Amino acid sequence: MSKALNRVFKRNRNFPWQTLDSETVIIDPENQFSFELNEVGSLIWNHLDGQTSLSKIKERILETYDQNEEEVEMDLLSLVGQLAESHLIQMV
Amino acid sequence: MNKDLFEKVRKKSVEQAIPLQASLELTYRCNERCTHCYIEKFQDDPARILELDDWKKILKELRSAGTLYLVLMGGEPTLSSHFFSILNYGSDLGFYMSIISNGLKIQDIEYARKLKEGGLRLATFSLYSLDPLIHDKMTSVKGSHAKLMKAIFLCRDAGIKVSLNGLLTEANAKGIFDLYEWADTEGLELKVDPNVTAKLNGDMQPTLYRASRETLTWFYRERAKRWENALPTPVVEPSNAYVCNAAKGKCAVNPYGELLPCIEIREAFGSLVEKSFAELWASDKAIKWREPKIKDLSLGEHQAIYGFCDHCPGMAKNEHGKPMQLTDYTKVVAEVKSQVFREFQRESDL
Ligand SMILES: C[S@@+](CC[C@H](N)C(=O)[O-])C[C@H]1O[C@@H](n2cnc3c(N)ncnc32)[C@H](O)[C@@H]1O
Ligand code: SF4
Repeated sequence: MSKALNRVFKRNRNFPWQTLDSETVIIDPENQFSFELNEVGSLIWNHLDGQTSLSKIKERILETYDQNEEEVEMDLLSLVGQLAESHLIQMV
Repeated sequence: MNKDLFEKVRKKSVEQAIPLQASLELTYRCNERCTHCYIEKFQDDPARILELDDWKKILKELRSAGTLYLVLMGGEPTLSSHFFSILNYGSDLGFYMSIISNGLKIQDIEYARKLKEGGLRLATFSLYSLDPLIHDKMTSVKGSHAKLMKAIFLCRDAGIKVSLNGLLTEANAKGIFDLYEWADTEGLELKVDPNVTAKLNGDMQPTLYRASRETLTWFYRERAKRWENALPTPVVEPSNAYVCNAAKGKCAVNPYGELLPCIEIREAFGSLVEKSFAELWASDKAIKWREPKIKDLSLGEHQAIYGFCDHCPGMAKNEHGKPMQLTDYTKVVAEVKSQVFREFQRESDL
């Protein structure tokens, strides 16, 4: 397991968001951009609560969806990387 | 939010009755006494006013129901002892937090920064005129104009987006274009609405201040002359379209925790302290307010100009008890808009 999975992130409260119908929209308050997440992305986003580690999130995804573990790990780290780069989440 | 995504989310919220926007009346108390105000009594019943924990429960339930935008209002929201706690709690949950305020309490940069740090995204201030005498006369509070101007700039300096609500009445009509120009220079969005509603108990007193037919005609003509896209144009909708968004894409909660279809329709579905949001949102009363379609309205001879009507079932119910019947004032505004539209069409045909 990648060491990176021990990390814990939390959502940046400067970006309002909502999950509607298992899809998530995250908005920039100044309406410069918005971010849309699919069902799996939404599950990840909803767990970025400052308490749940990425490995726990990976477990949740594997419990919910029938997917290959390596792919899930790669997708999870890639999405978390993108979100962190856009300052939508931060490491705790 | 980008336009396409916003449209997709908005459509989803209407189709599936997800209350994307919720207006919360934190208190009926106010430090102004606007002559046109629809609030009936500027007092809260101490036995019924919500505790912070009640508001927290409501916010959590709205979150689960799909609400993204929360509007804190009242009365004057900043007078609620829970105002900052609710603001912070809502931001932590992920809501887009906004207020509608008269600005009187926002008088130093520390207060404005506290709003910003609390996660306030948008402050909408009610500014009626650039002329302090007119604004102060409308609010019945001397010096309220100066204080509001200060609040506008303090919030902007603190990095909060500011927009303006300016009601069109007989009292402030003359200076309304000065207000538009000033707002434009300052880069502030200004909404001007002529629909002054009756008080929540049906008392028609605020409607005495409504702009006359002559003033409305002048107003819509002048707007159309100044801005190309300001000409009133008919909104064409199929007869099976919904009359409005109440109890579908929006809802409201009063200071006692009663769930309403929207701010204007004051028929409560029940208490959010006693029952869950999900239960009240699925109740017969909620369904009743969710259903009305354009074809259900009694339009009579105004059928042809319905596209110009800003019919609000709440305003109509308060005014004459019949939510599906246009008010006389809605008819007057629609007639004026339609007349101005035709005048400008004729001009462009020549
Ligand atoms: C009731 S106030 C509450 C928030 C705050 N006290 C303020 O005045 O901004 C909300 C908005 O309703 C508007 N308003 C008040 N009375 C009205 C009426 N009778 N008809 C239409 N709008 C009204 C105000 O101008 C204000 O923008
Ligand atoms: S400030 Fe707002 S709530 Fe107070 S009297 Fe004026 S319109 Fe009504």
